[in-house]
Amino acid sequence: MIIDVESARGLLNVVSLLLLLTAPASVLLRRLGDSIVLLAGQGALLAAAAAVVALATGTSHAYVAVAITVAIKVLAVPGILLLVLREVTIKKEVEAVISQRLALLLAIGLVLVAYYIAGPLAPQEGFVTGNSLPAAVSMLLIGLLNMLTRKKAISQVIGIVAMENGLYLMAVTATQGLPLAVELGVGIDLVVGVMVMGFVTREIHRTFNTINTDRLQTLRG
Amino acid sequence: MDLLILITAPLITGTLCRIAPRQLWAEVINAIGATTTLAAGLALAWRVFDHAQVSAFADLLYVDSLGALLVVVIVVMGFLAALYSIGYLRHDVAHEKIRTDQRCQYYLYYHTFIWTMLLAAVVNNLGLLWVAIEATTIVSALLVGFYRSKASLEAAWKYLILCTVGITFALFGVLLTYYAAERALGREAELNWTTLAANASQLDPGLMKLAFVFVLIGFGTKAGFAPLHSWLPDAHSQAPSPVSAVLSGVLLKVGLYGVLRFHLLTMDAVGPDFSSNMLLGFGLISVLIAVPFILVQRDLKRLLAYSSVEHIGLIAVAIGLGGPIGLYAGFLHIFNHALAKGLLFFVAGDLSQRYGTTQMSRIRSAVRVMPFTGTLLLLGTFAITGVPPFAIFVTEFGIIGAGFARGNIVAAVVVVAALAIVFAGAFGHALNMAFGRPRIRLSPVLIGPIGAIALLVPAVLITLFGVYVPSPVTQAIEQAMAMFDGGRL
Repeated sequence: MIIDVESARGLLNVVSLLLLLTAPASVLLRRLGDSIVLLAGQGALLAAAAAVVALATGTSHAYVAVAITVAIKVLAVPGILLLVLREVTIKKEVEAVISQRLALLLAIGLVLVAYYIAGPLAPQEGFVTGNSLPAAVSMLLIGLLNMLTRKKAISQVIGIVAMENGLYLMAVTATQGLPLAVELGVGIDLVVGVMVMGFVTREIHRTFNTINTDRLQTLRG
Repeated sequence: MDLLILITAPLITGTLCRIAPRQLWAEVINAIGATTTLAAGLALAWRVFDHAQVSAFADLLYVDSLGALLVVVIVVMGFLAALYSIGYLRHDVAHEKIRTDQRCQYYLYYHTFIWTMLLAAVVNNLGLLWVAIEATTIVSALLVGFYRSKASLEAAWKYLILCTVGITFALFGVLLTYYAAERALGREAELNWTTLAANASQLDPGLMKLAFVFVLIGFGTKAGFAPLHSWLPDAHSQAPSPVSAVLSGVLLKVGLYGVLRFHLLTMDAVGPDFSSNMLLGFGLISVLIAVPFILVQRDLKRLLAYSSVEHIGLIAVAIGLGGPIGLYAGFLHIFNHALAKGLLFFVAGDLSQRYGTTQMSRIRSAVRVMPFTGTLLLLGTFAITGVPPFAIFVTEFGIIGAGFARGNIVAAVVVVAALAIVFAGAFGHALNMAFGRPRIRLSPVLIGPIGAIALLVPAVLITLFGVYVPSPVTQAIEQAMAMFDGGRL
């Protein structure tokens, strides 16, 4: 054990607050490339959170989890998304259903909701700090908000990954991550899932000549 | 050994089909691989029903009677759909709907899809169960979008996005369960089913209630519960018909299986009523929402898809009601629906390829144009709407009986009313398709021998199960039932 639990909690609190900040920031970013970079930033912060837990517990499982997180959330997923983005031409960058100001207002509201419901949810013991669960729920809710208010296929994938990032923060702080086999499996699902979504996005672009999903409305009833 | 073959055969088959140098080889490998998977699955199930459970690889894999029931459904329908695919894809290639090399791709995706479902049935760890169920979505989305048409891409996209978001909620439920287990049992809990099930009564009731709600939303989206089903009719109608048969007949039950695992834990931790009532509620809503869509439907495959929402609802009602009658009817209905819906999607595949459409108004005089398929269309419709002596009559009767036996008259009345309306609606459609006056005259054709087997086997079984359920099947179901009432039956 390189750092004690108390200082680990302090560090995790800082990382949680930084992650909390990325959630409302994500609604302000309008260019897909920026959103993907922010996603990689979230991944790096999550890896940092996992690293703090690894340093505090000293288990080999925790160190492996850090490596998995860096490989998947910082490198693989954003990398695949950037590759897909390069293959589809985007005519208009602005794509949201609602204005930027309203989106930010909603995001801040969701952060408050997150503090209200997740604050009292778990006792603050172990690695759970006052901000970690609310930050996780905020990421989950704002990821969903981005999915619902943005039309481009890639934005929806980014929303899904952001939601899963929120769950990952919850897992790291509340249960020191998932069992290793599960963590690896979830990671593989995420990478393969993003690859398949990227593939379908490319096919949609080829067939419809756009990746705006509001064009996908022929099947009804 | 059987377990090892079961979890490797589909992957090997898929890979070999992909790299097969000739089309015929791919078809032969597909048939051999599907047969191997079938044999291994049945052998494993037999062993489980003999010993109550089988575990392997340091408890990484664990199959009990509930898992074995699911394995049987997967391998039987997986085998039949693999056979049916051969003739179906030949037709698609001959009519230039797909390129020749896409056929190899299809077999790769198809067997990988079967593999992911089998994994879900045999893993011990509930986290890995989540991983396997999410993997079914990812792989089967490639099959839903297989034709690359506008409609199929739209269906594949909605399917991928809605099911992935849904299942993210289920992951939250899994996390909560892990949190509850860690607090009660320490870090060694590891989310293994064997550990959790043995100690479920120590799990925090509040956390488990919350966990079950999220799991029900997440896996329930995959199971096709209304109102989370909006992706389902699109995906099930746009996929190639053999895939539709597996999506409707099998995959929905894999989602339900995920819910049932957490239902069992929640019953032990919280008491039997909470999760049972939620299952019952979602089941009734699904039945009620599906009915009007079945009545107004014009597209044959969408009709069958909405009928699947209805039937997954019926199964949830049966298990939610519980008791010996409800559980028995629910589990047997899982089989019956898989067989009947599989048969009907095969029939729909034949008809859509012959008539070049899935619009029911343009499918007419099917009994004359396709004597074999047309006849089975009628038989399948009899079977799925619960006409005696077919098997679904027995299980639907059981579900209604369970409603009365458990004193839940409302549930029983809703089910009776829904079944009566669906019966009238579906029959009108089927009679028009079978005997209606054709707008264009098509010459009669006979389907190939392999396709005929794929249609005949479920038709025979669904008839047989109505008058006689073989005792191994009854015993298998009774073993699974015992898990649900904690031996209190």
